[in-house]
Amino acid sequence: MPYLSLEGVAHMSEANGTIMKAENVVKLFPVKKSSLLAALTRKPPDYVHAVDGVSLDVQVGDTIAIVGESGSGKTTLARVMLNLIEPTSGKVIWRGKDVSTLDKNELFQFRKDVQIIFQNPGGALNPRKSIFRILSEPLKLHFNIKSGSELVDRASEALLAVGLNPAIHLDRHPHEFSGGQRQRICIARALSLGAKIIFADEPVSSLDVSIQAQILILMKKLKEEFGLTYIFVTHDLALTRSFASRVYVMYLGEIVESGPVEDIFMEPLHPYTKLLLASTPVPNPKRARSRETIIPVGEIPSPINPPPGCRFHTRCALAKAICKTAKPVVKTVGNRSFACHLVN
Amino acid sequence: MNDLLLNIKGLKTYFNLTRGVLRAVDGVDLKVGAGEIVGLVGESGCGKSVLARSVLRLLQHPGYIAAGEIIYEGTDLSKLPDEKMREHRGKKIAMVFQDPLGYLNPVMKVGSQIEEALRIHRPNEDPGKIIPLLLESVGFPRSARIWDRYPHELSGGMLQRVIIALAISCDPRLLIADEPTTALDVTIQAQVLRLLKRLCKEREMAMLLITHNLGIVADTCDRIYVMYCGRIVETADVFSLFEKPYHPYTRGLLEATLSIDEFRENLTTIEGTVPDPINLPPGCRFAPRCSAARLVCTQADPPCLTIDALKEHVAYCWIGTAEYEKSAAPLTTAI
Amino acid sequence: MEMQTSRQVLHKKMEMGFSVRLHKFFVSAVDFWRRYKKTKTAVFGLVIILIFAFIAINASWLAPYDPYLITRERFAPPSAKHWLGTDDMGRDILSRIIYGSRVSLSIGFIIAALSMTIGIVIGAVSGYFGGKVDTLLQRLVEMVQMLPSLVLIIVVLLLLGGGIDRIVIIMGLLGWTGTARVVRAEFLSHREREYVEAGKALGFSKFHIIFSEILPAVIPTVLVIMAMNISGAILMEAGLSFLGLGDLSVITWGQMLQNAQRWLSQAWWISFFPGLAIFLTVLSFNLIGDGINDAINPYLKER
Repeated sequence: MPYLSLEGVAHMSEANGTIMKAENVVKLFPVKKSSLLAALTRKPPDYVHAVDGVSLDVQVGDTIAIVGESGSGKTTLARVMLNLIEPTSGKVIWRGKDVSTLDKNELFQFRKDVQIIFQNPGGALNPRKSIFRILSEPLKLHFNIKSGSELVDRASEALLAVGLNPAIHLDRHPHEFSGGQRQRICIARALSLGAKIIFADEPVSSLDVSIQAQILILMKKLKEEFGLTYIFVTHDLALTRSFASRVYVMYLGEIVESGPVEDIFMEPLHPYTKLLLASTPVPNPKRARSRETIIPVGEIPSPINPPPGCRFHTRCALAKAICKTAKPVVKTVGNRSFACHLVN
Repeated sequence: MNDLLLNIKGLKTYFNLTRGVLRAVDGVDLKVGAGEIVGLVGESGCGKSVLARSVLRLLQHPGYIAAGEIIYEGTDLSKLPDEKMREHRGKKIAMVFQDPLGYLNPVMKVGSQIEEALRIHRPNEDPGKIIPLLLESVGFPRSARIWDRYPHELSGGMLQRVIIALAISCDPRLLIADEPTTALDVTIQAQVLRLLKRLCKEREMAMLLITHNLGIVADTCDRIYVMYCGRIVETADVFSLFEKPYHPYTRGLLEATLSIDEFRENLTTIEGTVPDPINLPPGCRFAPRCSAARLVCTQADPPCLTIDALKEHVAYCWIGTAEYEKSAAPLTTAI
Repeated sequence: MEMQTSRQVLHKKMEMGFSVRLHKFFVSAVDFWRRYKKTKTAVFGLVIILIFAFIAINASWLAPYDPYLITRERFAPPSAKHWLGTDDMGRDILSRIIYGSRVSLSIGFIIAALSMTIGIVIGAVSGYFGGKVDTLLQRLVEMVQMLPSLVLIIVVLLLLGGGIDRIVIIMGLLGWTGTARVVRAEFLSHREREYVEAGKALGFSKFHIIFSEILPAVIPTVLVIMAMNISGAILMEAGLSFLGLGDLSVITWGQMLQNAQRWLSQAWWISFFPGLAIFLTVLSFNLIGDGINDAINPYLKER
């Protein structure tokens, strides 16, 4: 595979260490109100606190999982880190540079380097374009390739790498593929540009169990082959357990706990992490019937005006008076961090 | 099993499409005992939802029941005239769907919608008394006055609980739940599943739970049916199925399912894809993807093997039969 | 060796870009036609328009007489000699309708093309960028919509004199608001889709995303409005000519009607046949629009 490995080699020389970093990222979305009412009441606008002061660190070759339920802000965080939306405050550092200050060439390099695959692979491919066009357009843009035969070669190579047959598949359209195959095409597109960091936003949750495993095996293989770094954005804890090396648990825009996967799953510290783990069904009837049950209280609060103090206190069975008033500070023990008044 | 509530025998539900006949359900036997929670597991397109809709005869054109019996408390629902069938829906068998918002009228208060259902099936009772009780039984305190709210004011989990209240409002003996928690967050999913289990116990109601999630069945169900391409491939008591799966498809499914309890270094998968439902392969439908398949598997429908009579463990598979032992490897292994 | 040949086959396959694309276009056109022809009225409309287009193109040898030729045979009713009769100056009505179709049809197409172009660009920009740009452009749309277009056209024509070119430009400049609204709505829904987000993450320019990713998906809807716009433009031109604001130097159906109104009671054929031509054309374009709509949204019709 001449082209793909060539792109790979260019980056191999890079030293290990932090490849991407989020520093205190905040993203607020103003809530739209009828302008007349706003003008009359003169009230400051409400904000959706999608991401509220999140820092995280991505090491080369890591697989990170950002875990959370709907409204936790995990997808918004990913979009900020991908430079698709600007953070309200805080910054995203990529290869030592603040992504908001990249010049045109650096931005092109960033777009090649950092890719995303989506939950719904059908939606991520333009239904009106053939697979060849879908793969060749980004190549033309980024490598300025004019020769048709080089485009065909590069596109075929990427398809082969994800287990598709270019001779059959190159001139088909997305609707002629199954969900799993479409996800393979999305991965091929990222690979063909020589991506190093791939954000995977619920990459397999729309697929059937047997197909999920196929995609995950492929992703694992490609990671080893091309030295990729993955950032999973997911609600699926079972997937996180077997796939990620480091996990960040998000709740209402904040990271409540982070650390190596094994540690967090064996011994969760934050009550929310415990609740998540206890709520996830396990495919083992004996264990399902014997394990500890935590009754989750109430509903997930709205991220507009989130609860004061610890944001989880409204659903926490252990909440004390202090949890309702004071924001817990982030404590770090070894390589784990958590934000809870009740755990030391 | 205690007394039989629902007994489906040889059910075939077909869809006449322009491309050909889609055999969504193709000869399924399924039993639900009184008060029992039965799981029906399968991947998308295996026909599990069509099976559920066939029981209530809620099939959309061009779907129709081609053969078989659906015996519910002694009456064959598949041959009942439409007006009689309507009495069964809601009153004797209720159904809960994946998307709760789609089944509530957005411009009507929750209370009035439950009232409407009550007026049809329980006309002699005072809805003002029953509705708060119903909502309380699905976990809404009386003080929340949920009956005064519109659907859009409630979250997904609350809506699903309202739907469940609506479903149990007429004291059905069987509840069919089609992916009831798929659209919900994990913590809310746990709440809803716990609620469903509690209601079944309290009201001696049976439930047919349809899902693709093996974790949910392990957690909730007493007995499980595994479905593939319109047919049941294996059925057993929940413990027996998870401990000693017999059919290669069940085994593949269990091996491909990840768990929060263990780190899997090497993922396993079922190779290939589900066949086109209009052009199903002959013989065992799983044979083209099965690593243990032999010639006989691709030629004739698999026999029904009793694995463990006590645990009602039955598999439809050639493996272990004399024919299988004699048979050669399949002609093609192409997927 | 085998790899090599399959690679060559592949190259050949992809490099025949143009013919492959032509073939694909042909296939999708056939597929579109299959769905379009289910609507019988739409097929009728298309046939009528094709006939008129044929007549317009071949006017010079189809017309039995010179349309400007004034003869002594005034007010002759339809006969074997003059199929549709003659007018007050003895000119052959059939020949005038045939020549008039040239102007009437081309006016419709040019006005529609002009207003569609403006509408698509403004709608696309407005829908894709949203925010302040959108607010600003929508106010512009509202302002143009608020203008009483008929009055405005009359004023301009009275000031500048009624030339056919002026009618076309003014109507083109005023008629784009509906298109802009529809295109904007389509863009609003498309810009949230994942493939657009994927395009941004791949570094595509805004220009590429708007015109190469989203616009092709909007084209079928635009075609429907286009058909309606053409009929609207033809009708408008006829109305203006009827009011005496048309271009006297060319023959249009509206012009003929205007001329005929004085003889309405004496010679019905002078007004009837141009009126019929306008009616058929406008009806046909509307039927075609409905047909395209049904063909691109087949499910709406079946339910």
